[in-house]
Amino acid sequence: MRIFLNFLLFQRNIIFTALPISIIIAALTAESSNFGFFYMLSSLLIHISVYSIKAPEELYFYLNNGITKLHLFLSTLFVSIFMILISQLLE
Amino acid sequence: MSKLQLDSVQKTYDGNKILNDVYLQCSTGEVVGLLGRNGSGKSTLLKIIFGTLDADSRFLKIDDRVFRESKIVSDIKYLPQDSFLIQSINVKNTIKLFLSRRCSRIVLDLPLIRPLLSERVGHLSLGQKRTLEVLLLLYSESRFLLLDEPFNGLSPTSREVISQLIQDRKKHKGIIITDHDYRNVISLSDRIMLMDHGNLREIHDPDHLAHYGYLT
Repeated sequence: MRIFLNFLLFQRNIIFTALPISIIIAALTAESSNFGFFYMLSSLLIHISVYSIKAPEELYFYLNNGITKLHLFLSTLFVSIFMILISQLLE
Repeated sequence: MSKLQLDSVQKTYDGNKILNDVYLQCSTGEVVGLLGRNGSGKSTLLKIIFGTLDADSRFLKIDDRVFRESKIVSDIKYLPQDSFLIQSINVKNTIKLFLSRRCSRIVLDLPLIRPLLSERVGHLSLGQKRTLEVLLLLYSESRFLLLDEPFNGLSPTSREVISQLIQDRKKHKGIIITDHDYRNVISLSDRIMLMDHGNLREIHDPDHLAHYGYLT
């Protein structure tokens, strides 16, 4: 449960930023069906910028809990795929 | 008693040998002080032990378990030079997310922490953050801790608090510590190692530090 909450914490910042960005892009481009794709792009960019450039030391919080960089990357990918599925369902 | 053994560590950067066949061991109940000039490879060595940096060669053993590849070992925790805490959550949640239920109960009850529980980590002073980080590691279930400059940028009062915490908990852990303030490291350590031109030497008498050019 604690490890799952760690993943949620990691994803929280990404979701809160990537979600509005992808909604705005989808609205501006009138491509609502591509919302999931926009989310994937923006979340991967945020993942890289926040945890590789802005606050790389925060990664050690997760690494010390046994969550590796690969696990974190996969979690971002997983949420992105979930968003793509949702956007496909809403189409 | 558990023992961490590191052997045959070699690391080269741009053709320069940073670590040359380094051997280091640490047992639970002892503090090993790692000294060396800036850029001598202390942090590199700690990251190699923790598993976040690949070495050209590395042999890590904890008791009978051998870890040949660079990977994070749950029995080792690492304190980086800068704060690793998540700034946007409060102290209570930080403790609950970092430690097991049993360990977090103990830390949540510490007089040092109780007044800070509802504070956001981002609002804590540097000394409070470092104290919290050191507490999280000291009360974790991992048997070995790598502390990379735990006293960096701290006031004398905060240094004293952290030194005391390490002294109090060291019987449960094997601790490898490095810091620019060599006096703190020497006073805390049971053994002193000096990183010198890629080699690790055991220093039996702090006066010998001058002999190897670490002190003038």
